[in-house]
Amino acid sequence: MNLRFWRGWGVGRRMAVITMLPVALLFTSFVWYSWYAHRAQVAEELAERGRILARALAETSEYNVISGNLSDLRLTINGLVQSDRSIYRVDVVDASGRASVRVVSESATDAQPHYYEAQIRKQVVWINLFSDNGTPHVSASSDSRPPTLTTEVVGWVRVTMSPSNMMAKQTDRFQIELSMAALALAASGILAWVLARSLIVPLREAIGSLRQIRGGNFQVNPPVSTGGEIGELQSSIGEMALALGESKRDLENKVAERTRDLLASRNEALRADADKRKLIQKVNEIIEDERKSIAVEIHDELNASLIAARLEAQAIGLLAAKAPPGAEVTEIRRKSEAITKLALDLYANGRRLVRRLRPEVLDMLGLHGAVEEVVRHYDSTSGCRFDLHSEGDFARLSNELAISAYRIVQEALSNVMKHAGARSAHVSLLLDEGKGVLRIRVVDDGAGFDTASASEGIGIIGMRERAYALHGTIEVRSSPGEGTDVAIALPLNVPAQPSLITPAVPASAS
Amino acid sequence: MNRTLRSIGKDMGANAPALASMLALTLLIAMAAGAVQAANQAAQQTANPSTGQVAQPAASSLATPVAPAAPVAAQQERSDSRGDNRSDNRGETQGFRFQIITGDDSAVTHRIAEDLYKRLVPTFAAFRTELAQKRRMLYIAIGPTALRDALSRRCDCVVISAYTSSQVWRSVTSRQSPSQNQARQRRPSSTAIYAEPAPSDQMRLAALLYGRPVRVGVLLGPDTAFLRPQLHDAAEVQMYSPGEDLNHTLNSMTRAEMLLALPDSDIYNAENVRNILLSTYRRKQGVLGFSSDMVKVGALATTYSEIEDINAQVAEIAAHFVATGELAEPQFPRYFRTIINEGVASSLDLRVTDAARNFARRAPAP
Repeated sequence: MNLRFWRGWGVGRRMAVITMLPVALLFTSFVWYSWYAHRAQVAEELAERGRILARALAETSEYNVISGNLSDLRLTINGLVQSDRSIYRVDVVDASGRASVRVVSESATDAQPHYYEAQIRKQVVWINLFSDNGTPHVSASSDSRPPTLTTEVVGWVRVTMSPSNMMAKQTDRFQIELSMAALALAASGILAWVLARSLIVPLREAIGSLRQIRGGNFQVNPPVSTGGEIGELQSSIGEMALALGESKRDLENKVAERTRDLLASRNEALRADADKRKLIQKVNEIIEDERKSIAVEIHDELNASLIAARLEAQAIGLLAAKAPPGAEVTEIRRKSEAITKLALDLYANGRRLVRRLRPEVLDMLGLHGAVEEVVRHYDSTSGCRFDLHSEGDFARLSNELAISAYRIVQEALSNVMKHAGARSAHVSLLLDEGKGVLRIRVVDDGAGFDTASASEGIGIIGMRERAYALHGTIEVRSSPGEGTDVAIALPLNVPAQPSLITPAVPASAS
Repeated sequence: MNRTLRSIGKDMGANAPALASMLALTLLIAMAAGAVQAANQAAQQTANPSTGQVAQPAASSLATPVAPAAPVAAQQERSDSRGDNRSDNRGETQGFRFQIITGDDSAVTHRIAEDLYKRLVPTFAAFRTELAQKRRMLYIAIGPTALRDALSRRCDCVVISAYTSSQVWRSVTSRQSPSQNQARQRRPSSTAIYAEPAPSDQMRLAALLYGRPVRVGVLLGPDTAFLRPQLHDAAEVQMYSPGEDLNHTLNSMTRAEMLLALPDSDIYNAENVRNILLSTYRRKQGVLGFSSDMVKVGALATTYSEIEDINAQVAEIAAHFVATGELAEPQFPRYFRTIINEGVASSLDLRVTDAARNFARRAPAP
């Protein structure tokens, strides 16, 4: 048996047990003792009465037994026996043991198994009776009271008692006591119930209030319905709810404040971001413009001068051919040829420079053509196989977007050439007009790199910046030995300036 | 001297235990001779009854010619002694002396003896100068034992018995009258003041209690039968012989309104007294007891005599004897008072009057 079985009990039950247990114990012991006491009282009283009766009857029947006046004695005893229902039988036995008188009660029903016996003694008065015994016969009173002595036993009185009558009386008393005790027990029970209830109800209310507080309702204000610890608990809960409500309001106010600050910072950052994009765009524009002007300078001035220089060198060669042969003439001819060749190389370099600075192919062939051109160029000039896949009509792309896309592809291919050591690379251009996105993807089967550890090179940063300036996204997926996959998405329409969010003022904020 | 005597008696008692208790105190007053001689004499007298050795010469010297056995004989003796005392034997018997004989050592006996001594001394002072041997001895016996002792002495002496009931006195004196002539010769003459109240006084008391003449019943046994003639007229006499059913005898005494109890050990003994008192009480018969103690244990009333009353009477008898040489007849107490058990009286529906309460005959102041 678990000795701590009561641990699972509620307060009410404990309270009831605490209140009722002593009362119940008291009740039990009281009832038990009362019953015992009544029984003992009957026994004692019967014994006492029996003894006294026997003694008294012995005293009174002395004369009748001695004088033999038994009918008188019978009358006396009969009167006594019939008047007292607790006497069952009275026997008077004479000295020879013969029953002289027997009176049995008419009303008593049961008898005790034993009887109370008293000797009938013959009483003798020792006074000076002027007998010839030596002492002077003085008729005046002697100083001492003459003793009354008993000499012989002339019979016995035996009283048999009947307990039923006395027992019935005691049982009545016991029943009254029992009912009073039961009443007290019931009253204690009610009291215990009331007490337990007075404890449970405020506790339940307190628990309910705590639950409400847990649920976020700090507006509970449990009434202080009782005193003592429970009343203190109730008032504490009220105070706690109040304090919690206040601290929550404080917190909310702080959060709102922070939120406002945060929004402001965000807006600022957004604004700075937009500025940055604009700046990058502007820088790119300027770079492109500068490149264009440099290309124009090279094309128009340098290349024209180089052509002129070739023409001049060719003219020298022609002149030398017409001049008499000699060593000098041969030397002149060879030099003019060298100059012509140099001029041609320079021209070719100049043209290559112009092409790099200003992809006019873009203007001429559009994005698709330009990309095709550059792919073909790389495919032809390196050991790596490049191929291009494109979908969509790129004609309507803006110049800016097209240049950026072109530069991105250029940079990506340049990276493949410089770092990947790939055997093949695949370029795809997809124009998703439904979503308004241009998707560029460059995949190679090269060495790859760890995107987490390796720092980005200038190439990727450049690509990222270009995509960023156009509000596009760039995604680089690569791992060592697995090749590299660069995916760029550029929105066709540059979104408008992002709206600045003004912080929402919380309703509760003051 | 008193103390000396007692101490001798005690020494004797140590040697002879059978007689020691009988003679514890003896007072001997010797008025005539010197103190030392008197003391010796007293010692001799004390030793007499117990040892019997000294008694013989004393008896011979003090012998009287006649020792009567009965009161009737006592009268005869008295007339003789009168002649002895005053006229004829004047030279031989020149005076009287007295001795108080006691039978026990109780306080009551002491009181009686001391009081009696004071009363007797003046009477006998006149004979102080006479020789002890010449004076006639007067014994006063206190109680039955002392009476028996006194009567056993062989001397020319006189015994006054007090504090002994008539029944016992009679039985003692009759037993003391053996048939032998020798013994009869030496019998002292004796008289008695009976211990019990006079029946005539009791009768008067009964009438006073009831306020009218009453029918009084008397139970008489063999020893008290001698009273029958005396009571026959005044009371309903019922004879009782030992062995009869006393209750039956009492029941047959139906006409009596009162029972006059007289000392008789056959009837009124310790075992019977209560029964008699109860029986009579049940029949609404009052008992006139014969002592205060009896009234205290349940008798209705009695006349009784204090020690001083009896002693006064003894002194009167002694004085009369000394003066006249005549010994009075045995008699009932002359002086008495009355005691009534008021509780019993009221139970018997008696209204006790002051006349009954104060019924007395007082002794003259000494």
